[in-house]
Amino acid sequence: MRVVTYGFGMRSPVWRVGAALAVLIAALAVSGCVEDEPDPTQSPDPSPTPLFESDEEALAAAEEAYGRYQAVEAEILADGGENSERIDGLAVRDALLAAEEGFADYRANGYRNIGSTNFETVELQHYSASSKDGLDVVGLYICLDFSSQDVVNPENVSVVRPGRVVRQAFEVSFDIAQSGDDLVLAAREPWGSNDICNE
Amino acid sequence: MQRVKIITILGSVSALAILGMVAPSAWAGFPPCTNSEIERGECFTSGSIGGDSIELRGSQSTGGSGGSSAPAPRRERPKFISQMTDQERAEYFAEDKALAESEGRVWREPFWTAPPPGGPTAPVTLADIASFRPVVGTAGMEPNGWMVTGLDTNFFSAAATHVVAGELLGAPAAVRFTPRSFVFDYGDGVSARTAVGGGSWASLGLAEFDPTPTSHVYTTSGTFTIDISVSFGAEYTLDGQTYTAIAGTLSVPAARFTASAGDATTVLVARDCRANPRGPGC
Repeated sequence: MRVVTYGFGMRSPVWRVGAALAVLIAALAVSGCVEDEPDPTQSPDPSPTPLFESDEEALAAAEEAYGRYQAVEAEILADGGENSERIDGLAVRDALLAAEEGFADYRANGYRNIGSTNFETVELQHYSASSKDGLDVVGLYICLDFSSQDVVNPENVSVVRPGRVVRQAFEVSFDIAQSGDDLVLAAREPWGSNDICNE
Repeated sequence: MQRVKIITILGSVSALAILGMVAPSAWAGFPPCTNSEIERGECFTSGSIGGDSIELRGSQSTGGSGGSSAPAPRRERPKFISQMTDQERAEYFAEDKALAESEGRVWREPFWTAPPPGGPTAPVTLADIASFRPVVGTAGMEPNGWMVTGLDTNFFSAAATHVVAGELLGAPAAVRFTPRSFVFDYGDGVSARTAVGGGSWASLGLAEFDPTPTSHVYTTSGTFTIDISVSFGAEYTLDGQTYTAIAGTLSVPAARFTASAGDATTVLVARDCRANPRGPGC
């Protein structure tokens, strides 16, 4: 940078002393303006209240989270498993791995869904209001209804197992979502008894 | 907003391991069903007995559908609350309680319902009916033990739908086997899969060396080994009335023949009708 000076040359000792003083004063002034910030390593107090006040609230939130997952899953399955990243954020852990594997299977075999799978008869299995890790906080029994759904191959031939159960019971499990105020599907397993689907 | 620890799968496994919660269970090692298996009806439990003891669970590719039938890769998985024994679950909740109290959080008793009673209401797998052996019946070839090159040799299997009684998941049951397809490996590099088992020329009302749905024409002389196998579909019943299909098919060897093929001159000269009344042209 080119500096034009008057009176004192750049190499003048008088100028050097003045510049050093100016820097020192400025530094002191700046430090004086900064207020103490809280230690960023210190954790905020843990929340004293559970995510849901009642079992009914937990059931409703889980049902809603599952509905969101299944709606997007249905779109991807109808599209033959394409653009499966749409499921991101709606499932985690086992549920996400199993979903991605299934979408890849649809793409590899040219499967696609016709119609949609419905779910109903939701029953609360468990709710850990004081969960220590936010995992598997809520569990539900649900009933998947395949009566208005078919899976076809590229030749439009159904690849559904003959004699499959039309209404099948599953248990679904939810973690607390990353946002901290909602649930996200973590696992979906077939349940041994179909009783809840026959009610 | 509640502060939540987000832990990766590996993190949760190790965290649970530290707490001693990862105990071997009936579920350990089962890969989760993919949504592809769920949507195609290939994901099911074959029944559970008692609260949390026996759980037969499988997903299976239907035979003959083509495509990949390799089993899904097995994954380690953290245990879910419903998969724990009562004792494990109590310990798990106790950990929750201890941690909540140490952090000054409100402890709330978890909601837990006993699982609905299980029973073999869902389809079973072929593995479950391993003790039920299908009967393949007799199989035959005409001419018996030899063939004429250039002419049809008739092979057939008499396998038919039948019911085998036995025990399934501790209860009396019956399995009905139905031949879905017949595989004829003619031993000369040619094989055929047919929907019918075929029959003797006489039973089909045909003349000797007539083509049948299961016959084969050998073009070269030599000795050939012919294998016939039957793919059975299976259904089971617990009440003797309602049958439920089981995924997949069961392939069972039915017969093996070793026979020589020669040209017409050779076989006609080598045999005469008095010595071999069933020979060609007799």
